[in-house]
Amino acid sequence: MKFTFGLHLGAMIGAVLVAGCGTSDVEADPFRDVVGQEGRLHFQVDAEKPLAQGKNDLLITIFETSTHEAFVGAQVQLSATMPAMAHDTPTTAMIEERSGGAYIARGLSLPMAGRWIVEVEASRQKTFDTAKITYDLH
Amino acid sequence: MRSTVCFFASLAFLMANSRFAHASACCGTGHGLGQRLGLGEQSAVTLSTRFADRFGSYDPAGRFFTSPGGSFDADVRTDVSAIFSPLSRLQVAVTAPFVLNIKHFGDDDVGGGFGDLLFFGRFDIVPLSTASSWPAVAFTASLLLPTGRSANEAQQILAADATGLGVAEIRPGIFFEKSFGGKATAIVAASVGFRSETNGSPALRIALAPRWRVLAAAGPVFESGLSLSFGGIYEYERAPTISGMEVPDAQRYRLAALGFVGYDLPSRFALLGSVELDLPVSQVGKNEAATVAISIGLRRSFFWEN
Repeated sequence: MKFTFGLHLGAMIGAVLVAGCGTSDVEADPFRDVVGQEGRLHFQVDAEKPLAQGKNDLLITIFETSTHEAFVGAQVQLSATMPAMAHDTPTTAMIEERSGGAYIARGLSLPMAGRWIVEVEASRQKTFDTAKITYDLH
Repeated sequence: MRSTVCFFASLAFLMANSRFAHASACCGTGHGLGQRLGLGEQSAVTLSTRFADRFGSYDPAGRFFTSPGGSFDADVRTDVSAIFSPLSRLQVAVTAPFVLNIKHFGDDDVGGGFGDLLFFGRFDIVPLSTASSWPAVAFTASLLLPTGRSANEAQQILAADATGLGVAEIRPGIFFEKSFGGKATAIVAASVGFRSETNGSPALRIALAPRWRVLAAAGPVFESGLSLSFGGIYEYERAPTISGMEVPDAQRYRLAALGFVGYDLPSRFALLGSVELDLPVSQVGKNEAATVAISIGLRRSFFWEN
């Protein structure tokens, strides 16, 4: 462990010399298009503006993977965790259904800069699937 | 002699006020090195305040990004500390923090409260001497109790009410210190913090990895009672595990520059200050906030009667 720690410190100093200074004000593109972990549902997630610290609204559109039909009338839940710091969000997003398999998640709170994993769960009768989406906030 | 004592006091102040448990009040680390008494001191009390402003962050690839324009993310932390030496080589201390977080990201969010209580102990293996050519060596240990509110327990939109790590931490360490005839001093300290597990929602078992810390600083001590020192701090921890699985790409590290100043005042008071700056450069941090922190404090020491 100590050797790994020392090696890491040395590698980091070398990387700094190569990489130089950092980046400014890069905003995260909110659009994501993923198939759920069970392969049953297809999730498209978007927002009107890049995700940022504070409250965020997400537009989630869900299709059945096999038929490409809109997944309407589903129970949709949203949660977010910050894996590096092992905690979740202080508040829960409110979900409203729109037409055509679209759902609005209002007030998703992302309180800190860093990597967030947003997990979307959708279920209707015996059909269930979940998608994990990564956002980096600065 | 008092200048040397002031240096020790400054060092103790720096350690007690370094970012270790802040804004990271929630997600950072506990104090590890705690306080330290100077030569001839039996006890001391310190009141200090630290203002920290986050100006950027390091992403999982180690790239540095500045914070969005118009945003504000700061905390003010006030520590009340007391340290006592019951035996000639043993020192014990306690620090009680109060944390105020102020954030603005579209919404304003202000919150705070009592932070994580810290107990600290130090045992001198080789006592410090300004005359000896050998460095002083001490074993240190700290215990951080999760008396603050963790980010998982926070209720406010920007988690401004988070004031603590959320888990207990025990941190053994070692401390080397060399005095160059009372004219200058250098220290190297290393420690590792082991954290207790916690449960997240919904009932996931979360274990933060041990957090390593190395601190080095050196500087002159003047006859006027002024002491200065400059150095750096490096911290590293592997990714946490959630339900036994290590989270990918979630290791953390940071490198910060340190500077501190101490000045002797009459009646065994000392004025202390420090600056800590996370370097705004890619690859010196990962999954960490980048902050600049300024601390100021007043310390009163008490000497042995004989």
